[in-house]
Amino acid sequence: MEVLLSAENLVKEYSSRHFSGVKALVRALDRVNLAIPRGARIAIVGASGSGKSTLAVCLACLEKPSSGTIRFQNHELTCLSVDELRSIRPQIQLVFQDPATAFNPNFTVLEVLEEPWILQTKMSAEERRERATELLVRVGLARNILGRGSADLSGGQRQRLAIARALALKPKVLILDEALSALDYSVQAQIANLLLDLSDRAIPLAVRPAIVLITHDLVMAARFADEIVVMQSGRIVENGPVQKIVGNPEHAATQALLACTMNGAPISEKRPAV
Amino acid sequence: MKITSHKTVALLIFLIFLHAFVLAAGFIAPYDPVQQDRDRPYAPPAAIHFVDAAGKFHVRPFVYQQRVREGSFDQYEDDQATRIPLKFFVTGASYRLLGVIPGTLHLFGTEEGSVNLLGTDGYGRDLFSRILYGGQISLLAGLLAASVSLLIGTFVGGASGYFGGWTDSIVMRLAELCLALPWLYLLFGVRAFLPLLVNPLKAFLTVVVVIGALGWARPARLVRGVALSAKERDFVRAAKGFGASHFYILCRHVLPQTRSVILTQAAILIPQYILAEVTLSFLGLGIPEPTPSWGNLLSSLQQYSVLSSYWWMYLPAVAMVPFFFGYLALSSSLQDGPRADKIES
Amino acid sequence: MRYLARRFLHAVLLLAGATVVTFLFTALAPGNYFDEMRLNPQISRETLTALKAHYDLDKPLGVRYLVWLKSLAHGEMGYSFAYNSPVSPLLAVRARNTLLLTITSTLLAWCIALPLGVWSAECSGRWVDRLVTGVSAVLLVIPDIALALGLLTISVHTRWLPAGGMVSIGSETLPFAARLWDLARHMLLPAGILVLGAQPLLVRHIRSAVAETIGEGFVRAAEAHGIPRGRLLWRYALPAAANPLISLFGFSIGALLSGSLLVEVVTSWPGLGPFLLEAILARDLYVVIGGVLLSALFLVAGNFIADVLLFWADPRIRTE
Repeated sequence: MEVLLSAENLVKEYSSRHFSGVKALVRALDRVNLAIPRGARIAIVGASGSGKSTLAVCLACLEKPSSGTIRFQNHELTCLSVDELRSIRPQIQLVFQDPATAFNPNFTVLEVLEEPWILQTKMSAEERRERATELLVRVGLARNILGRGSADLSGGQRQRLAIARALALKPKVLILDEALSALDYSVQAQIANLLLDLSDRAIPLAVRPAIVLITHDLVMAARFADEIVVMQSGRIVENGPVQKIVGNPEHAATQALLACTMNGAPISEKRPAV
Repeated sequence: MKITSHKTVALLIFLIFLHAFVLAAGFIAPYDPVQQDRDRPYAPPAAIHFVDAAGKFHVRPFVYQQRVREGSFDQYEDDQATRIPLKFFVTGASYRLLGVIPGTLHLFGTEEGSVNLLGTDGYGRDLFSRILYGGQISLLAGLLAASVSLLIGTFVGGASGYFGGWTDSIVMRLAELCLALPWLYLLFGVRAFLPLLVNPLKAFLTVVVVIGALGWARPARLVRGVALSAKERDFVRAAKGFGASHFYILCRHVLPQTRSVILTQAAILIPQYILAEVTLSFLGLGIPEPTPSWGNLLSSLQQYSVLSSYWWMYLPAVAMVPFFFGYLALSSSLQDGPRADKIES
Repeated sequence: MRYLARRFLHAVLLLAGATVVTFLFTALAPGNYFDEMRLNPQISRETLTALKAHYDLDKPLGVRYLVWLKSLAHGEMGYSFAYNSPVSPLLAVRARNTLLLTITSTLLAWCIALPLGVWSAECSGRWVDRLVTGVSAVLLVIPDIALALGLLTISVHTRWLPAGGMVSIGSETLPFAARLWDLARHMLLPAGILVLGAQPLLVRHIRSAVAETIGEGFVRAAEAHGIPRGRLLWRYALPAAANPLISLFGFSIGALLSGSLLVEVVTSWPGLGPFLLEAILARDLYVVIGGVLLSALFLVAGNFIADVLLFWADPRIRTE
């Protein structure tokens, strides 16, 4: 399968200043190598602080890595100018963890969805409205909430809206950074099913988005992904097909994550791949 | 969206009414503020009567002609023989409402003689009219100066908080320096170095600009805080992910968030600045004669003779109180937030 | 200790900034001051030339600033044209008078506001609290100038107090006790205005700070141990509420020179305020700068003292 987005030797360091004035260098990402093929379903799992979110943010080009390269369709993103990046950005979309702060509280649902089109296209107001309604249906929201304030939605609705917004510009890669963690368990399952639908194998490869789910919940990861990548302390310690990771974990980190699952039952409940 | 509390709305209406009253000075005041009457300096407030000395009731209120009591040179008494009836909606001196709309109709007045509801000053000018016109100047000075401060503060603070880096550090150090200097003394210091004897318009603009420009620091710090936190929000990062420019993000996402801070600051700054103008004018550094301002209306009180004999000259200070009450109550009500009356989801 | 050193450095830097700002006033003022002075017949040409040379007006801005800074370090603040004498001694006398007034007023204000605030917090919701809060609200709404002029008018009408000034004429000949009494009588009005004007803000802050600590766990625990209420309030609650109050006290110190300008002018108290005003009207450049700088010094010093007190009083800052 064609590799769409890849990271090579990615390093991201933050400097934090201690009270006494000493600067400490924190390596959030330590030589990470990752390849995301077209239309893939990948889950990146790890404990808090393992660098998952940093990886997401770097992949989405919202922050520049300290060193290493990110390639999208064989273009090196790390040495592009701001304007050049502008055309690439819509192809890689990020959905954030906290549904509460994902939208401008003064915006209506329509305004939230419209924003990417206003910024990137020259669609008319009616066109935008039409497409917004389509998007709402696609993510399982009612058509008539276009006029509602974005602050009036429930957590699950908000995440659906966030996903809808992320899909607005038909991205090739959709990254969800712990986007399910703030939701109720049942709602999580619904959203996971939504993600499966969006990356359904029946959709032609050219338009099917690659979905990267970042989570600390191995159960959720196994439910959704075909491939699991395990991170710890800024490095990828293990990766492979889901059956292998779950059935035969090699690294201590993976085993620890497995042990954290809710009931220890075998993780095999997953919708059959189409 | 913010202003949902009943209390806030009531206070706003109260303030608007007060301001409208002062704005309509041309109509409400019976006399031109600079019109002198050298025959009646320091006349006391005229008492309005309905029943005359003979015990007869008149529907139309009236005042007595005041004349100087024999044997004194500044004590007035009512001349019970001459009744001056008050007429309403009379034609009088011409004026321009809001500086634009010309008119000659006044709310009340007299045909002969004069009615000085609040007395006259040393030049025989009607104090009631002067308080109304002076209020226009003082209030306008306060409002304009507050706008200047808020404009500079929002612009500088917003840019500083949003762009961060060196700009931010420098701006914040500057703000700290400005706040470290004693405000009133600084105000006086700066005023000192600008020409003192200028025409009223120039003096007014000088006062507004100086007061406003010196007060940029506090609003700037508050707006910077808002910009700083807004810039980290996910929806801003999302907009960046869609390729939004800095300008777009500032206008669409950051500045609207500053609205409540700006409103609260306005309610706090306006009375402070009105007081600053009044203080400056009182001390002779603000609006010069003969243009009335609450400050220079009070400046005659610096003379002992006025202070001890002519109590009505204190009334401009009383006129300030309802405005201060309105603004202070409004600012505290805004700071309480919208939770006061309504439950918001 | 390092914290204090940092705060001290901070204060020094602020002061340096203040000197730059005040110096810039002179440089940026429209019209050359010496041009204006040349028109003044009272100043001789020789004085002008000497002053010009003394102040190096022909040298570039940076050099002038450094020269001025050097003379500042020696305690010289320039020359007063109106009084024909160096500025520093003039300012010193006036500042002393102002400080006499403001220190007394500040102490009085705090002595009244503290018990009122504590009492009010203690009886939260009852008539005492309502009365105190109500009177505070009324006082807050009255602008300073109205308060000052109003009290002055009342005082003049009732003739209880002298109409202004600091001492009565001929008081130098009186014995010490009588002089003190005379001074006190003159100080009553301006001090009264300042104290009343300061009450609303002080009482409100003290009340809210104490009310907050009263509700806290350790106070309730002490209460449960049977510690009497009075001791509880003054030895337990108040010290814990001290943090915001010390900052407030720091502001009070900072405003010692600058907060009383209007009151001094209105009551003819011969302090820094009226002197500054006179200098402005007379275009006496160096007096104005000196006055502004001196009051800036107090403000910065006041904040630094507040930092020191805070450091000493609040263990949480020491372990930061």
